[in-house]
Amino acid sequence: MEINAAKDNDIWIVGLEGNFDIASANPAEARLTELLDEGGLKMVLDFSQVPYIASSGLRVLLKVAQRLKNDGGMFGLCGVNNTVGEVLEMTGFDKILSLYEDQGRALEALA
Amino acid sequence: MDSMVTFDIVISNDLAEIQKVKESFNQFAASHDVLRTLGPKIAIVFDEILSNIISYAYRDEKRHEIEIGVALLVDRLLLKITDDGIPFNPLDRKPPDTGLPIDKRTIGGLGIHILRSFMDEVSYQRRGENNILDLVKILEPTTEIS
Repeated sequence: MEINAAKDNDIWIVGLEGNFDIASANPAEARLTELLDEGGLKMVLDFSQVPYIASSGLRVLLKVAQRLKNDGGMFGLCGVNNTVGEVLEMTGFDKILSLYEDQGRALEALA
Repeated sequence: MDSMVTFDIVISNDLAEIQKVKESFNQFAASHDVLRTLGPKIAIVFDEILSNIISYAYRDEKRHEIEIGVALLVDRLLLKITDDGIPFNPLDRKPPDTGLPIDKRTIGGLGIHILRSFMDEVSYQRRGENNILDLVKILEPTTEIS
């Protein structure tokens, strides 16, 4: 999975490209942790180029979400396709994560 | 009359090998229209089952083989995963509480929950030294094997 991060004011916008699975979960976790360590309490993950997510990817989302919640930050996902949406729904992750249609709406909500 | 197309692949207990299974399935799916939309879901199912086996089934550092069998019938897709790890029935796992608030959520059991949700039937048996997991996905009744 490719990860491209940019900062818009105080919000990390992170574009993910590829499957969020057992092969990509650990490197993704390392990269997202690195970004948060660099500073910033707000993060949006853009899923528009992610075909699917497995439980290994959910583990990373949960970790980031819990960290940002503890630190008083904000976390959102945008652009999830049907397959990713279905996985989030069947695992109840749609209730504990904030989902937005696209980057624009996510940035508005986190601003 | 049922016609059936199959393919098998054997991998070793190395997480990097999971990708081979997904690629083989993608190739298989590409030549059978009925499977095209199922691709991502089956990839997730392989990811969950195989990563579980490779991470937890072996008590030694030796190389082990995992066999994956795929069969496409007119109305269903069958998957069979066989490993020679320690006896382990993944279906015994307690389902996760998906209603907990974020700070109480853990990741345990989610993979099995996802694959059970995606597949129509999942069954486990221990036969000799092997764990055998059989999975069935019912296909739309109007679709045909191309």
